Amino acid sequence: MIEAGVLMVLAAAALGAAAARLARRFRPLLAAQPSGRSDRLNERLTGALAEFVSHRRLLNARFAGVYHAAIVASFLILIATKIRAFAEILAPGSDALRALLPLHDVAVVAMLAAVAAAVVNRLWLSRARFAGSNHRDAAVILAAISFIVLASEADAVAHVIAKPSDAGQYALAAPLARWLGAGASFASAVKAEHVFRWAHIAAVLAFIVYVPGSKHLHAVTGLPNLFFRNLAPRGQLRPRTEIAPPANALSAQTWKSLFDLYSCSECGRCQAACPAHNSGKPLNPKTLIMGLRSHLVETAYGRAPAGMALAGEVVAEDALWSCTSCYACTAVCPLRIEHIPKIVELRRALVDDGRLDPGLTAALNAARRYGNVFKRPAKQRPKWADGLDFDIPDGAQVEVDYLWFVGDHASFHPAAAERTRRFARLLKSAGVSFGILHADERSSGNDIRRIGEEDLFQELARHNIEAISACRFVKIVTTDPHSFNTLVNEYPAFGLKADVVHHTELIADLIASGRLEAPKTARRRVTYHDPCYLGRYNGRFEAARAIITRLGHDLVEMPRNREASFCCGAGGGRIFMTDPPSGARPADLRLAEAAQLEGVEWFVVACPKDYVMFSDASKARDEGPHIAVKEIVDLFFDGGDNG
Amino acid sequence: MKVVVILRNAPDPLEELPLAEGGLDWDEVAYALDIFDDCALEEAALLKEETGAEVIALGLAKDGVRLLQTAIARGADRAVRVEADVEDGVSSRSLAPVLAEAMRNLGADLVVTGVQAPGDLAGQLVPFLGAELGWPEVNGVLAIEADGNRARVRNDQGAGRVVVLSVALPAVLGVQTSRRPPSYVSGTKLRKAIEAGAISTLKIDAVPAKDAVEIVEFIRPPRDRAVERLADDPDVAAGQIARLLENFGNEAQRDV
Amino acid sequence: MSDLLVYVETPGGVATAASRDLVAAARGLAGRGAKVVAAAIGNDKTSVPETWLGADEVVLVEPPAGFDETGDVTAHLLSRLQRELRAGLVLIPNSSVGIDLASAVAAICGAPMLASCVGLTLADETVTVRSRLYGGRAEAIANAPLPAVVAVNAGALPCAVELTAPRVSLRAFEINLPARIRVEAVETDAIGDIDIGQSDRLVCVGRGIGGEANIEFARDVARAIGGELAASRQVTDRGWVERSRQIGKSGKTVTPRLYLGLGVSGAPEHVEGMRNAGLIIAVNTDPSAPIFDIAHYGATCAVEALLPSLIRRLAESRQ
Repeated sequence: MIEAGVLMVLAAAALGAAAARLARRFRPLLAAQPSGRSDRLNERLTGALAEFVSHRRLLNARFAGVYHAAIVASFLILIATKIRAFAEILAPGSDALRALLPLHDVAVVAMLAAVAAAVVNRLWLSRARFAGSNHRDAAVILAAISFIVLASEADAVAHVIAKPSDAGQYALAAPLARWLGAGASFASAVKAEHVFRWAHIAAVLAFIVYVPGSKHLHAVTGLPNLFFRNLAPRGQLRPRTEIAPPANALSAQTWKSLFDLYSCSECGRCQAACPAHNSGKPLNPKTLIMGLRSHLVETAYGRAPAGMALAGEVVAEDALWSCTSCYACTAVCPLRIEHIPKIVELRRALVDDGRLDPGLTAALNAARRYGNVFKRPAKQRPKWADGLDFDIPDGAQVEVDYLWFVGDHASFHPAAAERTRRFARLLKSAGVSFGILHADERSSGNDIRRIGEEDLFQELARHNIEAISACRFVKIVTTDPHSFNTLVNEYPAFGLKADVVHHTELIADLIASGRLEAPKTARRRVTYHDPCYLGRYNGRFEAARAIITRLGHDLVEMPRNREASFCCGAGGGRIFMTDPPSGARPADLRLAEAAQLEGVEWFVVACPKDYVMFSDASKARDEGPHIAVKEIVDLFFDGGDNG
Repeated sequence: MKVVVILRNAPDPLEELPLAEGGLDWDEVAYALDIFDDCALEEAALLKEETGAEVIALGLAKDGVRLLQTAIARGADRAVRVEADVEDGVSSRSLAPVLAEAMRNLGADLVVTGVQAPGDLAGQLVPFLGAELGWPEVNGVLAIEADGNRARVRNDQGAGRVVVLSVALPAVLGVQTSRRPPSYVSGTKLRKAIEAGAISTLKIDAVPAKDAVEIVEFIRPPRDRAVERLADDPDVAAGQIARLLENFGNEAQRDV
Repeated sequence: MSDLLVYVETPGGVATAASRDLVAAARGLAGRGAKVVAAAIGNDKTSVPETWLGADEVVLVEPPAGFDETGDVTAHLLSRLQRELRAGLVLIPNSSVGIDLASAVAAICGAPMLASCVGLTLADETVTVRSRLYGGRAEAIANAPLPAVVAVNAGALPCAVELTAPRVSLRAFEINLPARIRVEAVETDAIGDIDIGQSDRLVCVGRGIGGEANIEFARDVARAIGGELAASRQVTDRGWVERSRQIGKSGKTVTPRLYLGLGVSGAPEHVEGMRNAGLIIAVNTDPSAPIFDIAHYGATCAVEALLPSLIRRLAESRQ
């Protein structure tokens, strides 16, 4: 009875302490912005459970995924045994949950093996992505788990010694009991069982108190974080909320965004996938989240002022500006943490303060003044078409099937403009009815929104939508994945009602329907680079591949392909920034990856910025096999020996 | 210390320049804030950050309010719209008496503006404004430090020679570049500046000086020779240039 | 015909080439009928004023005791000279210092002033001046009654053929002016150790270079052709290249045998510093940039797209 009482008191104290710590940490979330994530509850629940049970993202890192699954399964089984242990003290002899007993030893072995695997993974196999994680915390957790599990097993061993009739339940404890308990008396075995049981319980309670301040909190917050995950399209950012200053503080984030911070397990998958981090830039998405989390805790405990500016003080400015908005971090995170909206929100504060790279200032000023980032008067936008021997109709004057939203780079950058002309020739030869907006088109604003200039983005969006609305067409087509993304995912909120296709989809359709002939070209070994804003953001992977194979080429997949594609480094406004590179640029790394593919001659892209970035990188390569960079349309023109 | 920044619009250097009889077609000109005035505004903002000076942005009524709103978004405490009998195309020299009266009216201690305007046929504003006011002036300034009594400036004297001058206030300074590039003004910031208002109107009685200079003709300059166009494609053009560079030294290749 | 007064700029005691050309040009304008007086702030340490050919007289004015040589003082001294000589035309080089000096002198004398002069005709009562404005995109032809002050672009006016050496005199002036501007320091490191005027091949980067990183590429090109890197004012103002490498009105005037302009627009202030280069090749995305008015060869592709290719080809051909 006294034991039960002591246990109740200890448990209450531990749970109370843990709850208090949790409550303290979550308090700042009450002052944060609403997140609008209480919709589609059924879908949220089933999706969260499915993702958790399937361990889909975790299994992308196969070894780690497997042992993590073992940890979770063992944990669930062992929880049952903890409950049994509690029950034995509160109501001795109740023998609760006896049916699960045989699984206990399986779980113990699995757990210990998994912990060993985790140590090997952390210290050796995947040590790169754990660089920067809190190793002490990890050590405490692994040690605590090991201790808890070992104490549980010791308890079982002592139990079997004391009650040999239960030996059949314990596949591991039984032989251990026979080996260790040869000369032990019943009384000492019962005492030992008692001691280990209490050790086990004490460890569990201590660990419960420890968890709120540890990355292991993800075990508690993980499922809720999956539940409240983003169900909106990936490529859709939220407009800024009009709130009283400071916009640069924790309270400017949504509560879900702050909840994210408590869900991070410091696994480093985001860090490993990040093109900025991998090219030596100051941004590390994992330490970004960890840093914000630390600050959140400091704020919760009153050790940091609640209104403290995040951009520049908690997170370095140049780290924020290093982000290419490629979404690799978010796509790979098993806990569905959203890094990019946090970065964009902080960029918004920097933009308001005028703290921008001068290249970015020039690009934004140009976009505001001339409607494009190239600082060319609007009238010059359609000049790329001067190189064609036919006129392209003005979508505002003539009804067309396809209204072609060209985009800044495709219009103004000389190298990209050549591909634009080729696409126009392809459309013409396929007899497609198409038109452009001529001088009425403005920058789509996709990158401008990601730079954090929300006002300018909305101004551009409204203007473009007005220009588009004056046209009569069936669909919008664009060669630019960035424009594609914002037209599809963000413009509808400002009134656009239209179907949008990427030019790869249109070309694939034209080939399939016979309106466009595949030219006779030499068969080549080629690889394809999935553009971030077409592939990872919008799930369009197959059209370009269909074109490549339909044209008779041998497609060799990049090691990192489809959703795992590695960014060229241009997005998020990076292409405008003038800070010098630190180490190999993302495009250089990507071409090096392609160079490892045996016999690949062409590196095929489907984005004007990719074309520019990779062409430049290809010219700068002075070692290794020469790989020619081709846009999808180039496959219809280059192909003879001059290709 | 009261710093007054004079801001003027100038024809956008990137847009086409529409010509008319004896001058520009002022109705067709695309305007932008003069790039040197932009730098002057940035130096004034820096002065405010460093010394707590009061910064007043000043513009002519005919140049509209946008540049004044931008100035407030960039840190000016307030802005003044000068109403005076001034026409499009008025020369900097003619403008000097009008602006001098405005400076006296505002009680300026330090006047900063851009070093030159692109249409300055009859000379630049800063020397003439200094002469009108009877104040010392330095044109071609790269950086300004100031306290209540004197300003210390870095003056670009050309050919790599930079001189540090100490100037007694009140004074007029012409800014050529600022210590940091002109800050970006986000849409939100501009909106807030527009909402804040803080633009007052100042009526000036002084009239522009009569200029003895009479423009007889205003034309596009004749080309000295026709340039030989290289390829549009950067790769091909690079090859052509490389060949030109390699062959350079062989006098026969040059076509002077 | 009234006399001409020419201001000779003497930074560090040495006359600028543009000033000396202006003296010779003044001789051509004066013909036989009028006198040409060259004036400079200086003293017996000023370098060889006897070689300022074309002037009848050189007047070296020593600044009064306690006064630094500043624009303030120079303007007053020059206008006093103009009054004394009753000079009808005051010619000043259209340099950084000169253009402001011309305005200040015009203000003190109450005389009309014309800047950016690329051509000049002198009559008895008036002067007719051709000036380049708006970044070189427009040209104004204007008249002004004498006495007038004209700021002349370097090397714009033809020099007289027959030039004789002047008589040199030193003058001291009293001046009743509060010393409102003091020279605190002359930044010698800005002058630097490189004299781009010595190199016969220059690779010049302008605002259109596309960023500080590309300047390294430009340096590589310069190295590959055995030349030097130069820059326009916009680039040196940004601090991307040392001022000692600046070409233009506020920089150096150079006459290399080869000039390759990368992202240089060719505004008159720059062009006047390099227009007499031998072979001029220009790369600029704007086909209407004024640099193409004086270039022999021009390309309108983006500089960033061209540079890596160019470097590769130059490296290949060197092997």
